[in-house]
Amino acid sequence: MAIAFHSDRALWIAFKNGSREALDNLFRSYYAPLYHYGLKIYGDISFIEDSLQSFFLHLYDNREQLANLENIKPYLFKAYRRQLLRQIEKSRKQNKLKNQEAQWQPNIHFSADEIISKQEVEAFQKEVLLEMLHHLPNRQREVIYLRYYNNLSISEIAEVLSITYQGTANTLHKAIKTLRKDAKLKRIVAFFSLLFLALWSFS
Amino acid sequence: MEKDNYFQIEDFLQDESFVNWVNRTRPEDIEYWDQWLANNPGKRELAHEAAIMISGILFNPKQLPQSDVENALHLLNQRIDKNLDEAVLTQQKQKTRRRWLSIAASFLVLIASYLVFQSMNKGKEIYYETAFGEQIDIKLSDGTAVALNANSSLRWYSNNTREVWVEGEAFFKVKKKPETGAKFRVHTNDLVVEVLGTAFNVNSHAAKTQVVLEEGKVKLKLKNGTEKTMNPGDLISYSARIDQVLESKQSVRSALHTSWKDGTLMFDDISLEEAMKKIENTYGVKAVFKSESTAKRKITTGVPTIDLETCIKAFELALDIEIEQNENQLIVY
Repeated sequence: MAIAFHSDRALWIAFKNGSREALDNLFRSYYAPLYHYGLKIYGDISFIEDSLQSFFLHLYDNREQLANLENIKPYLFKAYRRQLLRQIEKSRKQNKLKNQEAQWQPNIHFSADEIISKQEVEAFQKEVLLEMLHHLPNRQREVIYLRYYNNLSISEIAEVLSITYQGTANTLHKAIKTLRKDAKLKRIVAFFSLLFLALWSFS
Repeated sequence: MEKDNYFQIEDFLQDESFVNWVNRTRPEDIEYWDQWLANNPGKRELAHEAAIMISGILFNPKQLPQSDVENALHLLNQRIDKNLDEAVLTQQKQKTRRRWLSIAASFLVLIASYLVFQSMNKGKEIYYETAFGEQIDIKLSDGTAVALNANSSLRWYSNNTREVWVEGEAFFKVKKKPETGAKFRVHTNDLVVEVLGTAFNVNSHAAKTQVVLEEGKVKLKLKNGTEKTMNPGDLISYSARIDQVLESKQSVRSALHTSWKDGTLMFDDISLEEAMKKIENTYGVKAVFKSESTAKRKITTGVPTIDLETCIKAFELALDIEIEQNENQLIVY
């Protein structure tokens, strides 16, 4: 049976009070996005499934200690991201995969089928966009992922990554600037190679 | 025109009418911003970047079949139900265990009192001992109450209950004997506490003896022959092995040192390392720190003396760390 909660706040309070309907509701709303986020961070399906089970279990067990929330999504993204990174560190330590200093950083990649062919911004052509995205620094790619893939606002992203609003906006701005510059460059190169081809075939 | 001082990309991002222009939703805004951009060619680049940040990149998010979500949810609910069952079960188990413990303890007391009775004249030795995670309350025949903490022992001779020997930790509430003025003496490896009537805590777990006085007045006779008088709230810690007074403090919160007798260990702004020493002595476990900085972190919390699991949870929550229990080891990450 599905019970509708009229706001995040109401859903969260019901959850904190131990309502299993609220837990089901929360799980159905956020399992898939967290699952995909987890897989983007660490591409091991069974690891991610296990980590989500323990995440929700832990959340439920400690529900009484949780603060009240107006906005659930960024909180869950933040809490899950933190737990997952910790679990990854732990498993790498156990498997002796840990380099001395390198901490595991989310390194998000996109596949071609995840990008819509016809982009609203004309400069962004699917094939080039994919390649350009992967040239961005990790942090910028994660911000892009959260902003446009998961539709989080800049202030919500700031919460997820525990950085300032200004810092998040700057990171996103930098990423977009780079993408635009690259796109322009690509077009110029394409134009000249066409020109060259044309001249060459005439001669 | 307040929009003329838009210099930063955020100025555009946070402007609702600008967002409407990008999304082509409100004709008034479209007209306004078209006009504005024509009049402000210098801001075009910035506005264009802001527009791209708003419309962004169009993704085609991956989908997860609803059946996968339902399966995972089913698994979660099963786990929660199982945990709930187990919680009830352990509670019941603990109850029966506690009942057995109290029956066993009463037998112990019966046997002990029988022995006392048997050897009244000889002044036989009476001996109490606690295991890890166990505490007992002992009432001496003169009315003195003793709480014996985990991993500790108390002994005395039946013909003189005003003189006892402690190894480990114990709390005493000594009954005054104004008629005879008889003193009460507690012996440890390091010193003798001599009292008339008072409440104090003795802890000789770590190659030293620490005495905290809650009320009344006591005299300490250290192994090296010196004497020290203590007033309520005083704390003295002495090691005979190195013949040194390690701590001498006044007006300490004695509750911090005596709360164990009520089932709680209290830590007030001490390092995790120090707190773990207490846990080790109480539960018979060994703490292993994976990080030096975690060991040095300060903690203020209260934990139970007979429930290690809750204890570990409390530490994890208080410091946001992870502790793994591996038989007798607590691995602190």
